[in-house]
Amino acid sequence: MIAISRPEPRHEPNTPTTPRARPEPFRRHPSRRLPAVPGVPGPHQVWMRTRRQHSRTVFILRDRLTGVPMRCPAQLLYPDGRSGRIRLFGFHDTTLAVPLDNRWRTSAPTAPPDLPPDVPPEARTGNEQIGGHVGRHAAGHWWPAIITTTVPLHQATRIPMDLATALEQAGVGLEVFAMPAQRRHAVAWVRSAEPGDLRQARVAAVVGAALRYGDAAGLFTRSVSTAPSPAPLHRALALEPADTAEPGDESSDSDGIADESADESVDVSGSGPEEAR
Amino acid sequence: MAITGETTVNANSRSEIATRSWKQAAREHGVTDVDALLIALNLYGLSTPLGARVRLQLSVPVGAAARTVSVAAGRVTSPFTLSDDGVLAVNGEPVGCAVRTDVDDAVSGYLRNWDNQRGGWRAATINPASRSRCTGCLPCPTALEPPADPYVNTQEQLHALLDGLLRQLPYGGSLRDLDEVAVSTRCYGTEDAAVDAMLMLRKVLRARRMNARIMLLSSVVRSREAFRYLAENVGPFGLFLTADCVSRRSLLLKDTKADLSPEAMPDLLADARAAGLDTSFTYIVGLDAPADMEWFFRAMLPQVTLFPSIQVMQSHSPVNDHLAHPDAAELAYFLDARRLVEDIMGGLASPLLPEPWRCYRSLWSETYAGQPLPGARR
Repeated sequence: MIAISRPEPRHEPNTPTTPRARPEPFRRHPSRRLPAVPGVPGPHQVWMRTRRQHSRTVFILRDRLTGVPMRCPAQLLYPDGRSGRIRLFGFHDTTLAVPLDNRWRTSAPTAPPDLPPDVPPEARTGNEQIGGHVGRHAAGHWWPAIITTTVPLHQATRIPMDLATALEQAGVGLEVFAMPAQRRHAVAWVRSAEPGDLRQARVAAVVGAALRYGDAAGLFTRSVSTAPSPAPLHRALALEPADTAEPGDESSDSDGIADESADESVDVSGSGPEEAR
Repeated sequence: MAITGETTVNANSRSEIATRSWKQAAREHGVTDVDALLIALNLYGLSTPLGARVRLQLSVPVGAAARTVSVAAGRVTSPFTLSDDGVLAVNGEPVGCAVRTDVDDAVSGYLRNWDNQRGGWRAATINPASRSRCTGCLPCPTALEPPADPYVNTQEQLHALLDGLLRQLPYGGSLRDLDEVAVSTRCYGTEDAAVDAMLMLRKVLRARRMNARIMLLSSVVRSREAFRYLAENVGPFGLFLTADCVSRRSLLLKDTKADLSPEAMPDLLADARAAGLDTSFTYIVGLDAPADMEWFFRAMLPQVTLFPSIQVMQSHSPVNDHLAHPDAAELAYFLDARRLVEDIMGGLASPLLPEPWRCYRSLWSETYAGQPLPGARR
């Protein structure tokens, strides 16, 4: 099993003395989807699993199909078809918060230390291919590069046009949901309904939830009189059958918009350009 | 409208009120503190700045045998916190200890039902159809997970998956020790596709001389012909009908599930049982009014041969919060449901007991109908 233990805490503070170059936003590689070749020997499709045990966090590379931990360094197939080897490093304490989600995986505040000299050249090449960074800052992008290389965590989540329109009219954004996974979940739920009354009801539910949550969390600096009140939305959607709940009339112009044509709008993946701004 | 920044809900006062009320509700319902606490943990989740869902090996109270619990994380309004060294606390008061925390990623398979006496696993759950890509049912957390588990659709891939499970067994363990292989996966879409997949799985198991019962969690296998075919060609076989809820089904669930009416479900299970299959169902407590729950349980419980997976609704996102039944904000709602099931089941000719390892978010953890609950916890 690959169990990478964290290193001893450093004695010096982890804040750089000179400002680092701002990382470029992660950009989707056109061919980054992993090919479906499970069981095929050679380069493995892997994914990272994290586990916290006995006050230590370990990072484990597992075969994507079998779940079997892989030897390290692992031979990998990169999304662009190249193959390479990667090696995992321990992380500083601040990286090891219990919260487990895409975001901290990709924007860990403490990057691994500089690449040791024995990192194979092909691994550096893979890193540069994915992250687009070279030179001394490559180490700082090592961790995101590993993850984006091995696990398709960061596929952009696009908001369907009808949902985006309804959110905009209500004066709220889907980023009110703190976690990318929550945004993806909401979008997937809306997207799985065909255009029509049911879809409108789901759109209205997401808008209502965003307003209600943002209001309860104190995220809004002022109230918006034109936005539908969360309370009636909640009552309607929580207690009435779906086919009679149409509180989202403001989004009625979305009726009939297909997902494909609606996939124009906003990337809410949390690691894409939107978050990098 | 501007957003002031990251979520900064000050939930202290709310959570303290919730804590007091749930302890009082537990006393009023004669439920142990451990059971009430675990229901509350499932209901409220963990208060962490980020996170979707975590799987814990949790001891409650500290020092008790560890159990598997999968709960929502990133719930800033929850009174439950988990420290870096694994201490579970409610409003700062330690109540348990997590000896291990995993990201609850969708994986292709995992082992369950740890047999302490024999020192081995007795069941496995596999997700051969890329479970995390399933979307459409609001209460299900899998859509929050990174879609990285592959679609397994050949015998060779199933063998590879089982080989992976084999390597996770303790030394000397065998897959032939498994009594059950559960298939919990993305909806197969059609009855034929599901039956074909089960037939292929049985062929693979036979090739490995495994006679484990196959349990399919599904709502697309519905016909008597399919039940007979499964009994004759795939058995031993059981159906966990994914009922999930009674009301607002079209709004909350994907269409391949929502188009099965709750009224048709008791007869469906009766047909499956008549064909010789084991039967049970899944139900999420937190979406329906108590009256809907009651008629549904009265109709369904007489048709099961395995205790149903009756789960606490875990709210993973504000949208889930928004669509939960209003009464489900209080623990008493869940304790009432628990008592209701115990009462109905107790009146049946062959009452069943929950098997704690089957459900990581059950209404029952340590006790059932006032009695200690036997069986594996993970």
